[in-house]
Amino acid sequence: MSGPEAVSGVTWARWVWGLAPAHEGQSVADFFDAFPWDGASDDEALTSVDFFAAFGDEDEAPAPSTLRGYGADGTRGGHLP
Amino acid sequence: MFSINTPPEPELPPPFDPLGVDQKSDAELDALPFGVICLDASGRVRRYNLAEARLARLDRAEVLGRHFFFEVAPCTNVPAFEGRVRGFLATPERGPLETFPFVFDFQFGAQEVDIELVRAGEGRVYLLVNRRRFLPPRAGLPPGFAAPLQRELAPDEDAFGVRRDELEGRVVEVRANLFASLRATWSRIAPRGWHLFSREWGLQWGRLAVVDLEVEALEELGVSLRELPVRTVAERFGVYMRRQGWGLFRVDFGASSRGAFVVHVERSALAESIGRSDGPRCYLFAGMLCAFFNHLAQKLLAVEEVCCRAQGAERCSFVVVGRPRRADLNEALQRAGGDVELVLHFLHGGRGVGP
Repeated sequence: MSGPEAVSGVTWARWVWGLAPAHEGQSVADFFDAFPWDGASDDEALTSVDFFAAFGDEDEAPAPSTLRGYGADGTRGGHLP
Repeated sequence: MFSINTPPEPELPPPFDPLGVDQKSDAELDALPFGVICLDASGRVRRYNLAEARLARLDRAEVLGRHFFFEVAPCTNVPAFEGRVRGFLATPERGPLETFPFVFDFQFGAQEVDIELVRAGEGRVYLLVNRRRFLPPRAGLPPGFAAPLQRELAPDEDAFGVRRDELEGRVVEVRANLFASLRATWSRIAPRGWHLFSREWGLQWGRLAVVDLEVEALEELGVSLRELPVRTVAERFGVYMRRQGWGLFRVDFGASSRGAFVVHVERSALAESIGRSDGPRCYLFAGMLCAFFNHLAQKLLAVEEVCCRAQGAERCSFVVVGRPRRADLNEALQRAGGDVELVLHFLHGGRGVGP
């Protein structure tokens, strides 16, 4: 499951656009914890390419993740270190 | 209480308190990403949440009322499990809660788990099941030791019109025009309630989908969604929705620096089945996206559909912002007239990309 190859017959389709290189491979937690939800950020590094300008780009392999629990208290439901 | 005049506000769940598990509703237990099983004093299953059903690949409807140690999980009919549970129940001075490690044996694989026992009233006990590791089936087990498969618990259900997916979840195949009839029904009984109903339904359904996606990530990759790269998680969500036939979901983070991002849906099953409309119609997806990204961000977000295929747009597009900016988003929607770039422009106070 990665990018255009995953969508048979729709070769231009991609699942995700606009991630700056600095955010490629970044975990969901880190990405959204740093997300400028108040809209006040001028950090253009957060964004890289325009949605439609990105058609046809190659995907990058995801970065390895660490093992950690999940759940509302952060300890249940998943792997422990 | 749901009312079309006072729509419920989504909330992030509070930290889970094991000692409060008996007070949780079935719906609340179903929103937990770990297994919860309640046994009565005889060892029969009285409650069984969605995550446990998904991870054990058993249908709750078939499990409830069965004897846990003999019928549902024979591998637990050993001193290290049943003996431990019985001893815990017989010895109140051991306290309200006790934890021990165990290995569940299923025919499709073994699962290393931590079991948290929680004492409840009337001799009942809760098993909170925290999966630690997924392993291949263990060799050399005696016959009947591993947990039965769903088709062994209910061998004749096909004759009763029961259909299941590859993970033994019950599925119903219906034509997408089910939504057209649902929409028409709401138009007759509560014309202004459709969007609130759909959005709330989407929120509830989205929370269950989150459990599905968390369990998938745990089984396949051994991590939770928040540990995975954001691109991977967005892709997994897109695959999940596409597999179910809802359309092609794609995320555009190009407006991240403006505190917003956009989700596009190509060929929305909702928009195409409901028919032409003057306004956006995919509120179900708005609610579902809200639940999904609330969970990922661990923040309350607002999601609004800017333009919809039901209006004649090429695709349905949703803008996601933090909930404190919901009023800004609604104002931008009013001014932008269905243009996603204009919405983002107005959200940014008229600065940056825009006309």
